[in-house]
Amino acid sequence: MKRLFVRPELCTGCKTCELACAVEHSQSKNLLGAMLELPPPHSRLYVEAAITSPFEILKMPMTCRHCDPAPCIAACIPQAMHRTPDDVVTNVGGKHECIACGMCVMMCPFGMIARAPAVDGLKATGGLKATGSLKATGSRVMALKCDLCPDRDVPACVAACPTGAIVFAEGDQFAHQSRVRASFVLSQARAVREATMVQAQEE
Amino acid sequence: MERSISPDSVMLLKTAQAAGVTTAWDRYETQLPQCGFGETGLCCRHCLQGPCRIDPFEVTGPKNGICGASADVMVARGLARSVAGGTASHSAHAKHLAHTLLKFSRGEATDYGIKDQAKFYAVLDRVGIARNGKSDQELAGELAQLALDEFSEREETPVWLKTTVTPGRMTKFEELGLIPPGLDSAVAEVMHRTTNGVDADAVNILLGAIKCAIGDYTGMYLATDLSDILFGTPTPVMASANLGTLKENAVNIAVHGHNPVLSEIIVAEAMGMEQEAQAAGASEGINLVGICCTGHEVMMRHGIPTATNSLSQELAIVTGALDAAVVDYQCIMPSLPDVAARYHTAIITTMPIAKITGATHVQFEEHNAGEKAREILRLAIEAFKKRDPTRVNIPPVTNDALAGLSAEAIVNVLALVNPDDPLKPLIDNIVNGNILGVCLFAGCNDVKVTQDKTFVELVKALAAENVLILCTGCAAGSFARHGLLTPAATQKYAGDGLKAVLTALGQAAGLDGPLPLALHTGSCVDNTRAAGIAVALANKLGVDISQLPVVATAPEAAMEKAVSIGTWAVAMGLPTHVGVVPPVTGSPVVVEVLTKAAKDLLGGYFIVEPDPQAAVAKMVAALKERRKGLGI
Repeated sequence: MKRLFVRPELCTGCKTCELACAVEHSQSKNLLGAMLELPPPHSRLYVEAAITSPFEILKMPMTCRHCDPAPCIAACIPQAMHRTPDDVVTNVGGKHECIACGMCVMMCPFGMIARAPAVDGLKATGGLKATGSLKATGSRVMALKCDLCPDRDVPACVAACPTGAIVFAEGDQFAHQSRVRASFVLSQARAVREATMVQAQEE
Repeated sequence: MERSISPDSVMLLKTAQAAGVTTAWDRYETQLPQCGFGETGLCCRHCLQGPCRIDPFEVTGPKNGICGASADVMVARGLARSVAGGTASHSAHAKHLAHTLLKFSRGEATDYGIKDQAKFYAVLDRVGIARNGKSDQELAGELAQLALDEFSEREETPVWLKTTVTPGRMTKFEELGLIPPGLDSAVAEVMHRTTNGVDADAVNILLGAIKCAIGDYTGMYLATDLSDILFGTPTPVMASANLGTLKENAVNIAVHGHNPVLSEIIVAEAMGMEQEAQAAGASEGINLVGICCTGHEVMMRHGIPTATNSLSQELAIVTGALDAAVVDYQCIMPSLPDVAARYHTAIITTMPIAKITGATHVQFEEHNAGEKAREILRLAIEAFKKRDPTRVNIPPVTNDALAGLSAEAIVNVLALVNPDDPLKPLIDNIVNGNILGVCLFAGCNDVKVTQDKTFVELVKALAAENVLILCTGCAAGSFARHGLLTPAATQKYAGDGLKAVLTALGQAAGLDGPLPLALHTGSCVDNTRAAGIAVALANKLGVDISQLPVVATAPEAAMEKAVSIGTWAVAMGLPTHVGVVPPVTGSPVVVEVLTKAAKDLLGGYFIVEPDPQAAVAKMVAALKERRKGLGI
């Protein structure tokens, strides 16, 4: 199955992925509409900053790994969190409904699950910020996490990333790309080494 | 990362955190990580087809904007607009002073006058207005009109440019087409040439930015002249610094921003309202302090304490002892009313173009300046009555600070050593190596670096290398808060050669010790005072500024105004260090021009170096290279 992989060296920290994710998980599925919605749509991935020195801030988009076995599934008492036949870990469409207990939030080693107001797809339609209160929309707090965008071929974050820092690929496909890049560096290094040896022999 | 090394800031940041008050440092953290396209200058919003971004890694993303702009063009356009923003700010300040002088000449601003007639006449002579027995009031009108004319589109070279730089610089500027067509026109020209479909050559755009920055220099020079005429040329004055200058038993009022037109009148009117303050229960009456550059204006003219810098302005409120902040324009955080809402502090805006939601607005105009100043002071006294004594938490930190070393004041001190040829002692000591060179410290505090850390590390290291230090604005404020504008700092940190020179000058000036380690030359809108000293030295030696062992640094730069000042410092021929990386790294061409090619073209160039020790090494090397060029 295809997964989200990250090339952190390409992340500029622009957070376009966060925005695209929130819009994809909104009701209107466009930026302007999403900005007016209640409850406000929530991104399911997060660009984090690691301050490594006063002069360097490393940026990294953090995404759900859809682990197997997944601690969030193991911890889910109502069995809302489950693995789909497509190998996606999600709490939508499980055996029972999510009860927002937060067990999965506690168990996720990557902090990829939020507990926030959401439109409960079966019961409410949501509303506009301008016209309604959050309560009136019938929304409730739920566990929100990456679902790999079931309505799309390529997840919204991947499509939105301007530098290609987030990659949607099979694991071996991504690893192969990494190997090719590494071998390119190594082959360049080998050329330098050979030139140095020739030079040393001449001297 | 530490947020600040200023002891009063460190203490009050803890207070703020405990009280749940959000400061600029907290808001910075919520912005992290910041967008890399903005950081590298590779984002353009100049037309409605955008925003466009260019992939800095050149992997999969776009290489051009929709219009076709390359990374080089995009970065150059963004930088040029920054320079225009800075120039517009300094020019607005300058025009304000010209209008005040004009209103005085018409008898419409009776609270103002000619405070320094000697400087008034010197400026009239310099700009070519003949006195011919005319009254000061009449002459003030002519000078104000000439000043205002500088801003409009014209064919002649601006007067404050051609009469204040070296002949060598003028020739250079003319050759390169860098004479601004009027100071506001220079801003407008940058806005035009950086809009969609005009200038698409990065180097040409950068030349446009430099032309605009030369306009910034011209307006700033003019503003300093008019400030001195209206409010007096600063002379050495002992003042104090830090938030410990707030008093428990006084109505504490901070003047904040960049404009002496208002603060001067506040200072004058405060004296007459001491009794009202005492009647309200403030046994020590009114205590005025300064924040930011309005603070420096009143510090160097009246010895008013400087409480804190722009970055830590919110912390003045967190003391619980600030009764009012009277603000004009520039560097005033929109967050002030939010912080003040947690305390009793009145935030009073005064300028029609600078209101803040949640603040009290008292519109200040020259014709009723005194009356409005009294109204503002009364609001402060009323706020004092609401102060909660249990929340007062004034940090027990104050430092002495010698301020007011304007170019004229420095020459006066030198004249005590050699009345016939005041600059000679300075030149002799540069030639004999007692002084390695001169460094102007300018610029802001920036939340991206530990407050004051780079300033303090750089100044100590450069002084140890016998570099004579001038400072303005937030640099001067930073040094003041760390006790570096004192004779004791000279004893402790200056190299032997520098110490000998500053001691001789201090004794000649009748001080009980050397001159301070750093000479407080003015507010940030006074950087031209330092340029004036460099021009005088160059003219005296018959060389150009670009040959002098003089460097500039803005180690903690933040504002667009710092970008325009830095750019004219380069145009004037100075190696100019910046300690915060500006949004230009997305363009190899722009980086190359600013840090290397500018040196061949103008003599000045940017040194971008966040690491303090490496920055010192680079600035010292630049000074030594200049000395070698002069054969000394």
